[in-house]
Formats: sequence, C-alpha cells, structure tokens
Amino acid sequence: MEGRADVLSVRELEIGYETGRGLVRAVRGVSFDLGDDESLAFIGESGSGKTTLGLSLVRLLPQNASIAKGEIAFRAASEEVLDLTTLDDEDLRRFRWEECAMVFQSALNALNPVMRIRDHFADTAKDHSETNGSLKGRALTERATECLEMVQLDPGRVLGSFPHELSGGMRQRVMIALGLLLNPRVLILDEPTTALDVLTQRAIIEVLRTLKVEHRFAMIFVSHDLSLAAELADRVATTYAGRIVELGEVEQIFYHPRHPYTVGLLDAVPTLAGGQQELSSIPGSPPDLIDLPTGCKFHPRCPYATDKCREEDPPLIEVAPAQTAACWHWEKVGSDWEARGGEIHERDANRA
Amino acid sequence: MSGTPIELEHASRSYGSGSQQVRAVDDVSFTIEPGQTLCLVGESGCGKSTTGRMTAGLLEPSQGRVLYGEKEIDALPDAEKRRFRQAVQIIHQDPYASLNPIRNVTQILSAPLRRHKLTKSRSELQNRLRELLETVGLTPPEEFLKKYPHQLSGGQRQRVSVARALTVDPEFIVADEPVSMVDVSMRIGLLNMLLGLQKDLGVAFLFITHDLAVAKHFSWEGRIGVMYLGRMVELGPTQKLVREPVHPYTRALISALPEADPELTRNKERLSLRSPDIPSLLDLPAGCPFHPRCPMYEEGLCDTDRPAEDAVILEEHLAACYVAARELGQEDRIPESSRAAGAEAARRTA
Repeated sequence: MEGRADVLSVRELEIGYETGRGLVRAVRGVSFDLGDDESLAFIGESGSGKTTLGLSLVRLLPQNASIAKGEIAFRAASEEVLDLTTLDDEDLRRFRWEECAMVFQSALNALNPVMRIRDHFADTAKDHSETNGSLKGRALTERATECLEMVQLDPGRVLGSFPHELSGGMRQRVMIALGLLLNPRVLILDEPTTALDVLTQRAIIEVLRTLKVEHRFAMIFVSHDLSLAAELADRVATTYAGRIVELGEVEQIFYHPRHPYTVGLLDAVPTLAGGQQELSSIPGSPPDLIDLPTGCKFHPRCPYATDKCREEDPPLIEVAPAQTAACWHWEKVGSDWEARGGEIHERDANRA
Repeated sequence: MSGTPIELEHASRSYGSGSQQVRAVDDVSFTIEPGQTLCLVGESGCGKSTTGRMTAGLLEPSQGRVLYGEKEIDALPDAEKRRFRQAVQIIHQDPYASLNPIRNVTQILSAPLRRHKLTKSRSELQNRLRELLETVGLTPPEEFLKKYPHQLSGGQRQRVSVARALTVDPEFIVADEPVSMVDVSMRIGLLNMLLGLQKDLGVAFLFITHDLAVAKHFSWEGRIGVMYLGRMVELGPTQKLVREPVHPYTRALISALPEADPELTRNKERLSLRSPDIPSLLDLPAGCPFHPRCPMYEEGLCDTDRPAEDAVILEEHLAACYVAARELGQEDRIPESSRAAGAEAARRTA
C-alpha cells in the first residue's frame, strides 16, 4: 500500500444535528485517508454515524445538520486540492458526479419514477455540460451503454425502461452505472446490498469487485453488514457512537481485532461454513447520541470496562503497523482473542 | 410438554383473481412434531411468509389442508379452535409495527392474560408479568413494566413481542423474520433467547428467515426447508442440508452467501447461474421453476414435468430435482414423459 497517493483526507470531522431534544453528535472527531484505488468499509450499527459521514463527503447533509469542525480535503483529477467544507454551491455541483458519486441506500426512491433510465443519464450529463459538453446525443448513449455494461445490465432493455419496470437489484445496478457516467474518482456506496436477496446481492458484489479490480475506482462502503466488508474492502473502519474505534487492513480487523466492539461484532455473526458456533451478542444497546456516556462511549456494554474507561475517552492509537484502535485495554483484548486462536483454527479446519 | 403436531397437506394459496392469479404457495407439505423446529428459507416472494400464516391459521389454504392433530383447523369446533388459538402464536417481523404505540408493556402483556382468564388476581398478574419479562431477558422487570414501545430499542421491542406470544403458554410459535430488523450486535441475543424457549419450554417453531446462516444457527438440531417460487425445493435435517445440499438452488444460495471472513468468502467456490433474474410468479416456466437459471439444466428432462418435492429421497432429506434423482440412482422417481423428453433431447444434440 506504500507510495499510494491519497485522494481523500478527512481530519477531526465533527457533525451534529440540531433537534428539539438537543444536539445529536452523529460524527465525532473522525480522521482517515483514502488511497486512490482503495476500498474502505465503514461498519457499525444503526446510529453509529456512518451514513452521516458518507453524506458529508458529498455535502448532502440535511438542513439541520452542520459540520462543526474539521476538514475534508479532496484531490481532484486536476491535482487541485479542494476543501469540501468550504466549497461554494457551483463548485460543489461540479464536484458531485464528476469527482465523487454517491449511490444511495434505497434505489427505488433514488430514481425519478416518471423518467426513463435514459433520461436519468441525460439529466446528469446536461447538468455537467460546461465541463462535459461533448456528452450528448450519440456520445451520451455510448457512454451510458458502456456504464450499464460495466454493471452487467442489458442497455437495450434498460435504457428505455421506467424504474418500476426493473427489479430491485437492477435498479441498484442502474444507480451504480449512473454514478460511473462522469467517471468520478471516488464512489460512495451506502448499504449497497441491504434489502436485496442473496443471489442479487452476489451479483452486486461481483459488479463492485470488477469496478475495483479492473477499473480501479476508489470506493467507500457504509454498511452494517460485516460480510460485505469481508468481500470487498482493503481496509475496514469500525464505527461506534460517531467515532472510528478501530481501523486497519481487512485481515487485521477480521483476524486480529484489538477493540472489544469489533470482537463483539465478530462474535455476533453466524457463518454458514463450519460447525455449530458459540455466538453471543453485545449486551445493552447503542447509546443515545444526545446524552453520551462519559469516558469511552462503549464502556456501558464492554466486558473490559474499568474506572479509567468510565472517566477518560481513549484516543485512537497504533496497535500494529497500519492498525489503530481506541481502547485502554487493547493489549488484553488482543491477547484474549489470540488465546482463542484454537477456535479460529477449528474454523480453518472446517473450511478445508 | 405434551403437544399436538401441525401438518400442512398439499397446501396451496393463490392471490388475485381471473388471469391475474398468483400462486404464492404451491403444493407444500410438512409436519412439525411437538418441540421440533423447522426453518423456512428463501428469497422474497418465495411464499415463506404465506406458508407461515397458513400454518398459524391466519390464512386459509386455497387448496389442501392444515391439520392440528388429526383435524383440519377450519373445521375445529369452537372449544378446540380456542385451544388452537392459544397453542399457536405468531411473532411478526417488524417490532415497530406490531406493538401498539399508546400501550405500555404492562398493558400489552396483560391483555391476552385477561382475555384468556389466565390469571385470577392482581398479584398473580403482576407475578406473571415479571416472570414473562425475565424469560425474555428484559431484566430487571420493574424497569420495563411502565415503558412504552418508543422508549425501547428494536431488540427490546422484539423481546416484548416474544413475551406477548408467551403469555398463553403456546406449544408452537411461528416466527416470521423475527431478527431481520434488529441490530447486528443484538440479533444473536434474541436468537439465543428463542432457542432457550425451545430447549427449556419445549416450544416448537416454524422459523422463517431469508438468511441461511441464521437458519443454520437456529435449527442446528432441526430441519431446514428451502422454498423457491412457492414450492418447497429441498427439505432436510439442517446439518445434512448445509453440508451436502442436493438441490442446485440450495447449492446456489450457499455458494452466493457472503460470509464475515475475508479469506473464506473471497475464495468460496461460486456456482454461476444461467440467468440472474427470477421469473415472475404470473408467468412461471414449464417444468422445474428453477430451470431457466439452473446450472444443471438438461433440456427435456427439466422443462417437461414439474419435479415432485420428493423426487429425491435420502432418508429424511427430500429434494425436487430430476437431475439429482438420476445422479443418485433414483431414476424410477422421474416420470416417463420427462425421461423420454430428456433422452430425445440428448439424442438430438449428439
């Protein structure tokens, strides 16, 4: 991974929602970098701030949300570095789709029901005509065809269809194809496989893998689904209560986790391979983002919690090369996990 | 716990009318003995929820019968029907929609206890409420008795739904996707709690899920039934079905399922389908409904007759596939017409 230029750098990002009950602190002090052909997955439960984070990268936050602090630096195709937190409306409009495209969670609601798929492509191209002037008429059809083929759809059938004539999986792939139209550098995908059937999920995963391996797009996935990260991510960030609590390469996170929340998630997911597993869930529920616990936000649910955890929020520190975790007891968490190694070997044996 | 078996006998259910008829469930049969677990697995639209509703007596089959013991449930005399209603309970998928938002936990749980006159005094009612909340892991009970649904998390709400189902001491619970709307970190806790009911109270389950890994965890000692386009395509003991699936659809599901283990999931053997799209229930293909997508498809053999759900019989393990029947030396289970059409097609290509 060395020597790779970062396309995106986020530093100390804080985002809050103003609500009747008070300030919802959805994203708290998040920092990360994204390499220019890297895929990074944010995993976490509902309310962990992962969708808010995704939206902030294309500045599509709802009205009552605001970026309180921090910076988002994006290296555009022209090598110019844009500060996304201060970009004006016109530059922002150009930035979206051309530099960075977002594929939303619910593909049914994201497409206009009275427009044919062809017109969705035309609309996007037209809005960016000053920089992509040649993309109209036949050139547009050719590019749209190319994008639809990349996601394994039949352009002849799909271009003339209305959204309701397509299945959920096809609509999701149309959304991805639309995202590719202006050849952005980064693709942000919010729960791209949620609510789809297993065989359809598999088709989407294979499409994304092709985009990653053959077309070298940089991608950010936001999902509650650990298996999606296991399939596609180079690096994984575990998020809890608006913060990254662990960040590392995919093998490190799945095979050598150092944060008790990551361990808890891994222990809570059943696999199909292997025998019967001892599975346990994390006690308690995610915290109220308006009234966060003191110290480490995970301490009320954590088996390792001590007085120090109740008083002081642990910083994200390096626990192995390229891996960081925010836990006062990461060494103990790590040694306990590795001591359970037998279990994992058993899984390996079952796999063979 | 003594109980009564529940049986579906060639049950079908259609929706709509005239040319717009959809057969959501087509000729499904199974028996669930007292204390047993059957998991129904399949994609959306495969008929698993409709099957669940028929089993719980909430929906009458258009054809076929649902039997409680020896008797058809629609023909039960009133007293026995009441007993059936008490014995069979359902837990719905969405804990945000299945609990009345203006009733607190005490009100939600005491309604069925009063309705069926199961508690005689106020103190008995209070004790029963505490006991129920403890059984579903909402402890200490005092903290939850006065709470309204909006004050609870998704997982806690679903536990209240389970406690409500338990008020009447059911023998049998139909659970329709009970964990799919609950956060990952709390899902297993809920599943383990339900498993405890099965082990400690001897409750039988029809457990409906789209997730094969969840089905495997929940019915390790029980059975799994795989449904496709309204039909049962494979039914067998969980451990056998997961390790040695017979039907190509089950094999496709297993090979497609992403797993939370990077090496395992990236190196998994993939079964590629002939078509990614699921046919419409309004226009089902002839013969086996899976044949347009099936990697094992053979002309003539697969598109002539619809394979019976017991085309392959390996002890308790059934599968509806003629190619598998032939490969397993059960050619006599294939009807003459399909065998002839298959042979004819093979001759033409040769």
